[in-house]
Amino acid sequence: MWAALALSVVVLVALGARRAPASGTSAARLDGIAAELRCLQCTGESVAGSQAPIAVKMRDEILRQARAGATDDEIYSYFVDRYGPRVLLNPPSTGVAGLIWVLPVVVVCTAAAGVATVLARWRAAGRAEAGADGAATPGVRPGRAGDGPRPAWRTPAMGGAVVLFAVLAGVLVANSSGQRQSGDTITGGGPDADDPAAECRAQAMARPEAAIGCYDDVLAATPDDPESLTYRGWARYRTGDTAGAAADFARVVEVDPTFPDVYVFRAVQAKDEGRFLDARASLDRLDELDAPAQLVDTMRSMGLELQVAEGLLAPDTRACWTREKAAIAAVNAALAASVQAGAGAGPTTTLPPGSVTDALTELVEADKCLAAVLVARPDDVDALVMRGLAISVLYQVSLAAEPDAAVLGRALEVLGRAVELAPDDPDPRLIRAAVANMSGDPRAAAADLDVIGDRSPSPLYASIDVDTIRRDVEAQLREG
Amino acid sequence: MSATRVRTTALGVGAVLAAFVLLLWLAPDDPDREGTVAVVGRAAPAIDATDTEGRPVRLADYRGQWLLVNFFATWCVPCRAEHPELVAFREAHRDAGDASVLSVAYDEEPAVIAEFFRTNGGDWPTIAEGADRYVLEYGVVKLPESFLIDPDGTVVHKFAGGVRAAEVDAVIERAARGRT
Amino acid sequence: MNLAAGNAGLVLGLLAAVVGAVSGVVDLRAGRRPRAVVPLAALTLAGVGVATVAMQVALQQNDTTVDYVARHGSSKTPFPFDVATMWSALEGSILLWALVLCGLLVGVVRKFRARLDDPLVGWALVVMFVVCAFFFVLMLGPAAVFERFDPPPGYDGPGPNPLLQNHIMVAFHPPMLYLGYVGFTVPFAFALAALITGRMGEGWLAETRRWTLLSWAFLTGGIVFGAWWAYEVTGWGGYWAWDPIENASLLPWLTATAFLHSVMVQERRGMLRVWNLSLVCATFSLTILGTFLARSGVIDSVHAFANGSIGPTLLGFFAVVVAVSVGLIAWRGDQLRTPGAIDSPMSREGAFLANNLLFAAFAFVVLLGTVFPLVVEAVNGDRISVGAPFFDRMTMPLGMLLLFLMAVAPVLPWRTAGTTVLADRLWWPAWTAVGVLVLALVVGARGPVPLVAFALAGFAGGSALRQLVGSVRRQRWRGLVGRTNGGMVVHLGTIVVAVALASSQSFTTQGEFRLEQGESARVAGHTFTYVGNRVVETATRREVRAEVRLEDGRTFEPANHHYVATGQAISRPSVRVGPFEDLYLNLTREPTAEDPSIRLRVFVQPLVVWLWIGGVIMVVGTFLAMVPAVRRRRGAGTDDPDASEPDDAPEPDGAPAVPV
Repeated sequence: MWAALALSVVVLVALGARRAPASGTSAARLDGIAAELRCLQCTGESVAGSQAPIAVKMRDEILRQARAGATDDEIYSYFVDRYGPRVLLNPPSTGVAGLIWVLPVVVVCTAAAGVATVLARWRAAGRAEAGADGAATPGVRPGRAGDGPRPAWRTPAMGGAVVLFAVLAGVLVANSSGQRQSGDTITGGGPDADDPAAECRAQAMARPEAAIGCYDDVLAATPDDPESLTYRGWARYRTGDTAGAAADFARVVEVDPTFPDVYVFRAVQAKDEGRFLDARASLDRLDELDAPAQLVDTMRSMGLELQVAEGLLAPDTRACWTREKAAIAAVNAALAASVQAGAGAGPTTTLPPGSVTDALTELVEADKCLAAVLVARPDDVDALVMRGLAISVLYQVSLAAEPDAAVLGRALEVLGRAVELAPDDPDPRLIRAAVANMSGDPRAAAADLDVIGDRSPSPLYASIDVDTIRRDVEAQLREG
Repeated sequence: MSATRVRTTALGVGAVLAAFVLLLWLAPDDPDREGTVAVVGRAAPAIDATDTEGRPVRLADYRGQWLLVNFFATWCVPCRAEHPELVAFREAHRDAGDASVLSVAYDEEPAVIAEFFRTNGGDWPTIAEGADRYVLEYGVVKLPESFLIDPDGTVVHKFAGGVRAAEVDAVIERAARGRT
Repeated sequence: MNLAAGNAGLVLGLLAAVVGAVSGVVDLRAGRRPRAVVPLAALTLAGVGVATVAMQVALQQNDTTVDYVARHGSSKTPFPFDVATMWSALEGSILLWALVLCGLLVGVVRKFRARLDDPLVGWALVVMFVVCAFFFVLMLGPAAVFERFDPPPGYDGPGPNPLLQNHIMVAFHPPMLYLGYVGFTVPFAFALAALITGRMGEGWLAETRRWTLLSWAFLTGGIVFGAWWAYEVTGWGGYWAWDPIENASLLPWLTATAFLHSVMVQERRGMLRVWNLSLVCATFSLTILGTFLARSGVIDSVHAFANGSIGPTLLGFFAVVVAVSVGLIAWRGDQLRTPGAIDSPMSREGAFLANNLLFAAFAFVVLLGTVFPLVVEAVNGDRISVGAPFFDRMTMPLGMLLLFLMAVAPVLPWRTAGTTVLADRLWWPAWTAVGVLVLALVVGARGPVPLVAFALAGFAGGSALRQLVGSVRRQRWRGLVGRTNGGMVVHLGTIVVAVALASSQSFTTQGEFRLEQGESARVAGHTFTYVGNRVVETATRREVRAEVRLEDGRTFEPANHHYVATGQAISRPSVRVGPFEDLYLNLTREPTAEDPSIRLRVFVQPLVVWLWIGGVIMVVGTFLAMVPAVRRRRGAGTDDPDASEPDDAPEPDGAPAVPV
């Protein structure tokens, strides 16, 4: 009957044991993370529970990072990096601080063992007393029958074994409960058993050949793992095995077309091999997939999008563009210097004369170059837009000298043609909006900005700040 | 329990407690503890924002001079108390052009900030939009807190609580001596 | 005037306490009865009474020449918060402690007035005089209460911390807690007296049992009401954060609870004497350590504690108390040898021994977690935090084991148990456990940990009910009073608290939403709609309230209180209490001109109200346990724990129950 009772209890608990796991941006996961972070403005409260402003900000940040795909450990590391380890409510599992987990286990085990020993001794003594009372044999020392003399080392050995067991148990508790700093093992450093690819990632930067072997092992265990395939492909590419890389990337797209990372590396390979259209296609796919922030940042720092965009230009246009790009960079530098010196910033800011003579010359040359291209191909939208840009920058630079409205008129004409040819393309409209604003027609500028909407211009024109133009246009509209 | 066991246990317990008490008593004093917190000693987290007047503010633009990044709010009493010190600091370094101030407003409306600066002086930029990010990036816990960044862009010291111009100058001098 | 009167009172009290202690020691060592104990005790009470009155007058008059009033009082503080300002900060709370202590001293003198020539009582009073003297020294030195301040014209103080003005609980929680803490001075004093005089039989236990129970009741009540206060006020939908101040009140409670159980073994079989002495000394030491941790600033930073002398003084006193206790126990070691031994772990004695171990482990874990950051910081300068994750993880298994013991121990007989007896008695409790488990599953509880907790709670509840039902059947209403029965009621209260803890910790749902006017949010089957907001101005604060409506029409008004003097803002959540769940709303961000939406935090917490009800049951049970039971006729089987235990006979004042 009791067995049945015990069994039914076990069964019932097992029945009810499953709970929905916390993942992604679920409230359970976010609150779980927030509950382990300390609100630093309060005494002892967690970020999950506190209403202090800093806690609210931290909760917002946790949500932001979870949306961007960060792991729990990454989120913890972010806060520890900035606030120190005391922002974690869970004490660490390693080091001196890890003792906090070990000590209670050791103390409880040792105390329990001590009590057990004492009880056993009492019981033995009790039995011995009973034996002595009953037995009539003289000269026999009371003690358990068959007991030899106890060796002296027995007690300390048992005690040592208990303590050793307790310490190991404590370390086990520490590891499972304490806060792991990323990359920790029992002794405080090393790879994470849950994520074998992590070690390969660590090696991949410095020694791609070793990374290939490492990923081979991981793929032997879990074939077709998109992450490992992608990064093995990338490592292969870096060691010169372009065919192998292409094969790996192709396999990833086959297995999991929604894995974003592979498209970055495919684009790089395509770009290097001069296949700019393929590169563009990969980048477009990446856009669709909503890549994680880290990846996008890496790509930006590689200048990948710009290179692909430039690669897609016709060769003669590209040559003109190179000159124009250099000139615009010089102008921007001068602009930045003048901002720091105290002038405001905006599309209609004037530059001190004499700061950009070389840039001026380059711009004029670029304009001539593009004019030649347009003679050959009058419907080349890219050339038209670039020309419009060059003219507008010329205007801006020469504002201090003698403002010539006719110059802007030329720009508007060129850009108007570009808009006609490609009405949905944001680039010509952006430049035209900037020019319209400069020439005192904010309404036209606003109209073009509306058509652009939220879209970003081509990476070629990334140096143009849409938001600044937008704000300036709004300001002008308000005044006017 | 036997007498000796009681005695030894008692003495053991006493020893542990004595060690604990001694540890607390003899813990060394660290006067500069405030300065040694996560962000200090590292490259200052990048700032790329727009101030309350609509101008772009970038940390990179301040390379080559000392910068005091001050987190404050107009509703915070110690912040209001330290404001004259910040003004004094800025004035003292204006001619030499070797130090600036940049304010980050915590949960504040731009109109209120503008009024505050109008009434209390100070002509340096204040970031209000997107300030939350910088609050976390710099590890700000309470208001006011200020971070001193050297000309190379490294955070040299964190001042928790109101700053005094003399204090900041002292840290600058100490750090400058260390650099040469 | 207030200053002079206050300081005069304190000096008087100090002198009386010192003279009482010194003359007591001298007399007792010479074998005489201590003289003038009664007048000296009265004088200490008079002294601290004068000081208290002076402080209250100063607070009511807003006399800012008194530094304490200038720093913590304000003319705008309404009654009764201005009375409570006395214990809203360090110095005043020491004054409250001393007031209660001197009151207790007088009470002890009165109760034992017929036995003042008994050295046991004499030494106990000496110990109490010494403790009194220490607190007077504190109030005249490191935590000076009556210091002069020169207020500039028109000066008005900031008032107590807004957190302490929000809720009437501030008037009750600290005094109740202090009655609990200070009450343990009495059994401690008697324990030391027993050690000094060498009379370590059960006499001292009998004398002080009612004091201990009463103090325990107040301490329990204080802790539970403190949790209730936190829940109502501090805006985070939680009642226990394992922060150092809370742990400081929990630690002596744990050792005191262990003591209350363990003394039964000493009364019955004269065993576990060292445990009992250690537990009572530990309880008192922990009250001092707790004050040290809570008041010296050491928790914020180990370096802050050395600023100002209150920290080192309290720590020093703690060290002295521990040294004296440990020293006396070690000295008397030979006389503490137990006449009996525990025959079998499956016995009531064994269960109580296990109980002691579990509570000691629990206290160790809490103490370790509280002081560990200090130790680590002192050792290698790292600043770590130890918070709820650690405490929850470590204390949960101990709590479960304690629940199990609560079920099994009351049915275990003394000396040894046969399995058939046990199986018999645990039959119904076991089925109760299964029943509770099924109920929990039906209601939707999931997760192994809370389910096991519910099962164990059912087990323990069944055991306690079995005992109570049996004794009520036999003795009708008298079956509810007396030590055993009162104890079972306390157990029931504890079980209710445990169930409430398990459910609110494991099954709370929450959500945070940005709501425009008219917008709704859904949490745990309820719909919350933001209707509008309004602003209310009072003398000390500006309240911004948001009106939120529930799907059945009930409204909530979570608010933010902005205090004019300090600029501090306290959130005042809106709580709807129900028997099955609490709906808790908090205004995280109030509407502004720029952004009229609000940010609302919603908590739905199941069974929280039972935490407070359970606490009340525990306190009621303690009072029931203090009622003396009818003395049973001799000849009834003494080893049958089913019958209600004969209380030690309500002895006439002054005669010990057991000859020592």
